[in-house]
Amino acid sequence: MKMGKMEEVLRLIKEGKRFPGDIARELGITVEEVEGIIELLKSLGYIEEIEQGPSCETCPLRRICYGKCIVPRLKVLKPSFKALEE
Amino acid sequence: MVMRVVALAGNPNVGKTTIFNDLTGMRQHVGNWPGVTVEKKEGVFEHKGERFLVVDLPGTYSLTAHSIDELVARNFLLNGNPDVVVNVVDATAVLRNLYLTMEIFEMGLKNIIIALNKVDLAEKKGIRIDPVKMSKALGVPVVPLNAKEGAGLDELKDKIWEMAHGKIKTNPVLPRYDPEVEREIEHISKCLEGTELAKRYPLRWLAIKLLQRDDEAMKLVLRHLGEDKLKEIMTHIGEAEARYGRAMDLIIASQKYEFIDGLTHEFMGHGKVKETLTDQLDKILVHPVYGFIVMAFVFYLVFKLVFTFGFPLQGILDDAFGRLGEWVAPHIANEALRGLVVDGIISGVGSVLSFFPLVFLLFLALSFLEDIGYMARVAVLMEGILRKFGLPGKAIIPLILGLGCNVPAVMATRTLDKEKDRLVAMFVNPFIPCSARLSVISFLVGTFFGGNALVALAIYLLAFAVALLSAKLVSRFVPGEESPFVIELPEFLLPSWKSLILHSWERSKEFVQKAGTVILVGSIIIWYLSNYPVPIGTGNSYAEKLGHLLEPYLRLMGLDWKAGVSLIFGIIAKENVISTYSILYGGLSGDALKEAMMSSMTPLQGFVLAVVTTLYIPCIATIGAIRAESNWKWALAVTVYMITVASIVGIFIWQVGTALGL
Repeated sequence: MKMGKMEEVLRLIKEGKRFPGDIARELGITVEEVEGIIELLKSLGYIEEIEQGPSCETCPLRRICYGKCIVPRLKVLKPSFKALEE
Repeated sequence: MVMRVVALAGNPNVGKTTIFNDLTGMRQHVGNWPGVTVEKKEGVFEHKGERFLVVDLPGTYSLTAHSIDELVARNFLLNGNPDVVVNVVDATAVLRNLYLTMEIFEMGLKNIIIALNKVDLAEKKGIRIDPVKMSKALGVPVVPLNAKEGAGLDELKDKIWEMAHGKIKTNPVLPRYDPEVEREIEHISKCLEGTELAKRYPLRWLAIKLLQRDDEAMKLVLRHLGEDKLKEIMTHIGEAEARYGRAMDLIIASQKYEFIDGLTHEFMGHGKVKETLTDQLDKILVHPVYGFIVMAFVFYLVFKLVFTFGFPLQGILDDAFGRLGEWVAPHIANEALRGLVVDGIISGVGSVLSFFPLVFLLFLALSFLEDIGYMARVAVLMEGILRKFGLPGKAIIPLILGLGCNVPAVMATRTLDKEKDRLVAMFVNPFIPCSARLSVISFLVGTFFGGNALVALAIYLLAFAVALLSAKLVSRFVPGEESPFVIELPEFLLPSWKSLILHSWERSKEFVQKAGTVILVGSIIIWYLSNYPVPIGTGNSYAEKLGHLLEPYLRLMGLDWKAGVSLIFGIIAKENVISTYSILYGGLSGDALKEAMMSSMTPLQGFVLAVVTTLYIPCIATIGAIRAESNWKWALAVTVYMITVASIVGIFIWQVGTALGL
């Protein structure tokens, strides 16, 4: 059975492609489409978003800190356990 | 008369809430869906003399049962008997949005209207959609909207009214799958034929959900048809998956997407895709060569801004603390108490607090870079470098967090999948200069180099280089392998200045709070050690004795006993390095302290001290965080390693610098 774009995107992520732009180039589609497919894969439980830092509630400095973490405004996602088992 | 119910369904951020607000105005009620903490919004609108109840469903990308939002939306569509379903579709992302549409169609619902929102934005992006053809292809009415402007809303209300009164006949298109998948759907459907479930749910939908191993669908079979039936169905699905070598849910989702892709060709076309400003900027900002040049320039500008505007303000604060000391001194008769308050507390804490403007400006600059999206580009640039040095690319996030504070940065290494990656990332993280070290670097660069931003930048770059080389070294002993991940870059956005300033203020507040606690206690202890059992200058105060113990070793890097005492107290909090110097010089601050230091140290010694302070040891809180995230042995290894590296680098710079006559 032929693989569709959704499966191809997941395959490329699992193979180590880092950026939607690289995946888009490889599949001949737009970056927006790749990002849309990633959202769908996320809702299907194949991709999960990585939290970018500890929550302030669990930080040992919570009593003296007002949230000074410098967090780059990017989304980092990884294949879920389900995807890696595939 | 019973109100007709209109369900509003769609992906997140498609303008669903705007449409809900446009339709219902102020007549809204917000509560929770029964049994869950998902917000339920309901509102009423009137059209052609009839009132409609609008239910805003949670935004979802699909109707699987993976999240509570999806389950709530799905259960309402299945069991809530809405008279009309308005499916809001974002015209700029039709492919992704129609996935949810197809899931709704597969549920067997007929009274569906597509509200095609953001048509204006789609046109700007060169996306052409023919609503008439789209309606024909999908088999349901399509209403183009620009919800922000309220355009198309009257037509939507008309369509809702007509559909609720049975004046519109629809024929929603159903996704077709490969023959093999269709065969599996048919097989499962036959297994369910004539059962209780067949009366309650559309068979095709249930069969597809079972093939996708949907938890809720499996529970339905178990509850109504028993364990044997469920086992029979699941065994069949397992065999099918073994035959195709892939999970059925992924095959079905993928083929559904392909079906949608084919369908869109009937009504959607792309003009020449215009390159956005973000695309144009990214060509330079994440370029493997130009990107680094820009990054170095940007960070040079950050230091330039911090020093140019920060030092004059720091001078004002420093003078203010000096005057406060002069004003307080005559009011305290007891000599020891006067010494403690004026030379210990006011000078010690004041010398640190005076750096508040610099810390605030640094956070302001970093918050600006963070909010516009530049820090994300830095992360992408550095990610490639990290991998070359044996660190997993994902470790860039904890490293960037370290610019603010190393404690949450060490905790953020939890996001790395492998234990070995976590250990390496934790090992190198304390080398990243936190905001506390910025005040020490600023103090020394201001004193010895007239606040030259290039010198500060050089110290930061050196710290990054040491972190990378350490990663390379440690990863040889603790090898790990890269796990896959993908990074999505945000669009560039202009931040709101108000939120930027408020955010920077919140971040800098910790600096003030720390000055009132850790630095205050540290200043009192340092003052005591400097004045007992005999005052400083005799060579017999505790501080001098402590410093002299380290002096032979520190001499190798050109530093004296005062540096030794400062570095010891810097372990508690790095800012203590400044307050210690202030107290050891008899409570001097501001220009007087600078002059005193310059008369006893050369710029080379000042540079060595700045580098050693940046590299020599994590603060106590960071050591504690490393211990909590790994173990004592690792925390000890990091500490010993950092002292060793700082010593080697310090000795090297001093010896080479001296040989060069600097």
